Amino acid sequence: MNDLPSIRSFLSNYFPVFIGGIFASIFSLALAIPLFIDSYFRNLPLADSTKWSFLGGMALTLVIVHCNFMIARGRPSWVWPLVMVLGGCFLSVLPAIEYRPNKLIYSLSLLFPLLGLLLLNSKRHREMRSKLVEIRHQRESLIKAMKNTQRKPR
Amino acid sequence: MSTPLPGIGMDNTYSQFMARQRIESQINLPRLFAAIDADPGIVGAGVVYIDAEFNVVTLREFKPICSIKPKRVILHEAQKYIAPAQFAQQVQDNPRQSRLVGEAINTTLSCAGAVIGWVVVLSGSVAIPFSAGASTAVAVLGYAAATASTAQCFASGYRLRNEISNPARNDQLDSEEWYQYTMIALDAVSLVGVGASSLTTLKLVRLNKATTGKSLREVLRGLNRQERAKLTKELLSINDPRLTSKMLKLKQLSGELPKRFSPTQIRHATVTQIRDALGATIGFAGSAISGNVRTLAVGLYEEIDGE
Repeated sequence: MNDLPSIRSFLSNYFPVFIGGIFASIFSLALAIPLFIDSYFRNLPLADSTKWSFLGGMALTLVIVHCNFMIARGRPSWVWPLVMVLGGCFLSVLPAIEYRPNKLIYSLSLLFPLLGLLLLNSKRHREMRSKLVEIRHQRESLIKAMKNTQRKPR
Repeated sequence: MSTPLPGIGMDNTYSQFMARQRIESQINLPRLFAAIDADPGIVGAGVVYIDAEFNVVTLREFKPICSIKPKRVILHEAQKYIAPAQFAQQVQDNPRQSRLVGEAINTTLSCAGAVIGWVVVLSGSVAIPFSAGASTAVAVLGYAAATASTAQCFASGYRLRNEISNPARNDQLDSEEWYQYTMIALDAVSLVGVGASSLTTLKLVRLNKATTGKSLREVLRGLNRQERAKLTKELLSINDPRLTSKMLKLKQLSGELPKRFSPTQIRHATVTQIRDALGATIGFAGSAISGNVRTLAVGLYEEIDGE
């Protein structure tokens, strides 16, 4: 509480793991969703499968963005939807081996969710989340204080 | 008449002479050349036509405008005994390699953009204790930028993945109007968020980029304002303002530019324009003569010396 981190040191400490988590989730979406649709909806025409995989991926990207934003704003419980998305990617891709997918794509789409989960579970990320909660509390108290001073007639 | 290996551009044999006559009557040559010259990367490139009987006909010699090293656009008609699908596969394999690199670069760039967006979000959140109001606004603005640029990062990652395992899907995506509008909207949002200039500039640079195949810095350095305006006009007159999903402004912001984004990589847009120029005539004339639509391949070849 008393050692306010400077922005620069905060970013240099925690930004890599933060952005790493985001990229791991984004890439696992980009890899897993088309694989998912290719494997389990084989009869879909190309136009439809393209459209749905793209739009579905976009929607989940928005979810990921929002979760990360909320984490950055100091609400660590938003990490759970992220975990669910990553776990979902992993589990939905796993049985696709039945359909003999491209080996590179398949292995990467297993690797990225796991990497994402690892990063979310890392000590750094946990530390960052708790720091961000602290900062949120400071912010809230600051805003409250400011409101109080405004209300008081001089 | 009796040269066994006909040199490029010399109508040595009767069949070559006939091929030239045929091609010149079938193709709208001025339009084809205009399409090629609209791309600053390949202005004045030579045009060579190889027909189904392997007659090599030079439609235009190379003029050293775009580069000193000779560049040639080669239009290759499929042999009669190859099925169009097989021919397409054969030809697609080469340019696809460079497109893969292109997509990879694009992914790097859009993700660099996402990094910037997230830096804004995170630093906006951390800076709160000092200036509650202002930095909250920064964080919220950053939210928009981070959303848009992360979405673009996803899109380019998705395209890269497609380019590896299912390239047809990217072509499908490019042909969809909603996709193009989505990408423009995302660009606009991330631009506003990051605080750069208006959408029109973006469009201009985008058009430049799409046709020249140059990186942003090259485009901005190589062309002055008048030239850019002229190029845009030219492009619009050819009526193919093909907007690809490039994150241009973020290249500039991140300062992380690809060193070897070869300008000779013929852009998809230019190929499309060339195809358009050819398509109308060749398709129908060809089908009238031989009973099926002629398959054509377009490629750009540059002489490279081993450095």
